[in-house]
Amino acid sequence: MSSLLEVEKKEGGRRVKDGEEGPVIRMEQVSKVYHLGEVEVPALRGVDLSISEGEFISIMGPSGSGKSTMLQILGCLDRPTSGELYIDGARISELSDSSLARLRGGKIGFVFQVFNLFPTVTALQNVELPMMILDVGRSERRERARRILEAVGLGDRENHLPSQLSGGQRQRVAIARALANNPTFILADEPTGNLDSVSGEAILEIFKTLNEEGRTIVVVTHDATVAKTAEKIVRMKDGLLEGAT
Amino acid sequence: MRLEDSLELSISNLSNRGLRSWLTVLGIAIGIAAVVAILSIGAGMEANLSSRLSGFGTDVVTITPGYSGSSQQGFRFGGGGGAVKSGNLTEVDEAFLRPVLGVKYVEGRVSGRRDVIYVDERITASVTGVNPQIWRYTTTAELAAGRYLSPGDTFVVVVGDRIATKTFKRPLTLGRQLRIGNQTFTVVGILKPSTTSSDDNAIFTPRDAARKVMTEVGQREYSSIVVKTTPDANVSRVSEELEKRILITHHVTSDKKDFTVNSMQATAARLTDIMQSTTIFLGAIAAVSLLVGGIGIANTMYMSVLERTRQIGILKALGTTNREVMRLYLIESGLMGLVGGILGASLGAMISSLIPRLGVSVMGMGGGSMTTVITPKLIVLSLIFSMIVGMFSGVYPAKMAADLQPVEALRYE
Repeated sequence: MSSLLEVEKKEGGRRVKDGEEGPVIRMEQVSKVYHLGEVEVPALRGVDLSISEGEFISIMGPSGSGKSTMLQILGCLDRPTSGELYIDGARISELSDSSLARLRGGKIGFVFQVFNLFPTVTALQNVELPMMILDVGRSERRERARRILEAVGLGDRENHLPSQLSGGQRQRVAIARALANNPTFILADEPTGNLDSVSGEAILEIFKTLNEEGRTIVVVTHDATVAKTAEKIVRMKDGLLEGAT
Repeated sequence: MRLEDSLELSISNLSNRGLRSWLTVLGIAIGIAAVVAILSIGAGMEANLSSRLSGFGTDVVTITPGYSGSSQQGFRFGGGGGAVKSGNLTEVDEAFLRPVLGVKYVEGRVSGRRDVIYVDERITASVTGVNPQIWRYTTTAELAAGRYLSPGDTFVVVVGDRIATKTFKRPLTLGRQLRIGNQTFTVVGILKPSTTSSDDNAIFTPRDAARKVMTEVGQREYSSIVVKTTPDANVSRVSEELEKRILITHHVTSDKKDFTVNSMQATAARLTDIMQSTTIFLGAIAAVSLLVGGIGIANTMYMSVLERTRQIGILKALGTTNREVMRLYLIESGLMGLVGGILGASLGAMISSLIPRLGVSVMGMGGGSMTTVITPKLIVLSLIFSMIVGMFSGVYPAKMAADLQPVEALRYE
């Protein structure tokens, strides 16, 4: 596989405020409470977590542990009920909905269990989409999308529709899409959950390579094999982290 | 997201729903086609009407005995279809009207229906006795052959086009003789077909000759008085002044009015009014189908939001703001409206160009096919309107899509 880090370097690295190597993600006493009618269901109960640049971390836990909520909060798809979340130094609670959308687009690369590709457009256009959303010019985004697809080994599949690709290939397109805007970190949700073991293995290899090249990666999973790929595992139980840093 | 990218994405979304998008577009197209066709027919009718009305002469005011809005009983002479109400317009009135400011000619006329015999054929026709000196100035009819009546004429007639060419088995030509009452009249002029058709069946003769065969009209009385105004006169103001004068000569107040002052200008305005409100009414009916088309768009967009909830979630996860999602959907619905408008306007133009060939006659106004007028303004307005209908229909679904929480949207199966 050709180097993915090379891509990042060309686009310029992460901004570091005041020259200090602060954590990429910092959660301070984050809690999330859902209201089901009259009943209050706490999903996160004061979570502290700090992830530094270049880390590869797995968040593991059985269903009902608050793992999915954790993913949604980390992905800025939902806001904490209380507590603070900083991403790349930016305080989430201070951001408007549209600023938060832009932050998702620019700093977080999502990889979903069910791929979530747009079924009606080609692999290449799927990879271009995040750049299109962030107003990257046509020729620039096309060229960059090609290079990333090349890097994940799908250079010869760029004009295929998702339905014409295997599960493993689709997930590689999804990873390429996640890398499109050179995000601060990659957030993967059960990335091998819908794949056979061989394809799953290959996807995990890609994550490993990306991490070796300096990319920060957060994987949320219930699968121990997947979790073991990461250099650090944090476990969740009843809305709290066990053995957190 | 840039506007051109939004546009591209919208177009790709629409084309992916191929048949359904087209069916929705068809709904709008039919509505716009109906509106365009009806408005073009309306515009055609109006153009037709005003060209016909110009033949009436809008600078002519006619005064007739009797007033439909009054309880005053007009004294009726003579029977027959002519319904000559006479007895209250006299030479005194005529003389009294002449000095009114803005009046150029005043012409008392004597008219009625009479049996007319040409060789061995007998018909009943309207005979009008005019002032031979000024009739040629008060009439809008043009000569096809011969001459107008002139001072010193006695038992001569000028006949309308139909009288000359259609009424009798053998066409009337100059120099032929007609028998009206117990007098013989010589044809000295034949009129061209008129735009109003009212002159086509008429026979004009000098007033004095007419009196000889229309004994029911008193010696100093008229069946009508025709007033032609000066070119710079305000016709409606002149009409008012004429009315005031006759009220004085008749010694009546306006609530006991026994005559009617009617200017062609007022008639024209009234007819145009009726025509316009008819067009608006029909257009409103057509607009209902446009409304139905709009609801079709709303429905399609609503379904599409439901179907694509997950995609909206992905778009949002990838950084699309609520406003951009909203814009995406508005562009989509607006595009459906616009495409429907383009199809509909073309279809409407096609229909309206076919209508004149069907040869439907207009409101019995002397035959003549219905014409239609399509202006660039009508086309442009209908396109803008269809796009607005599309976008307006898309507002609610677009808002719904924009307000979706990314978490909810991504969870949606």
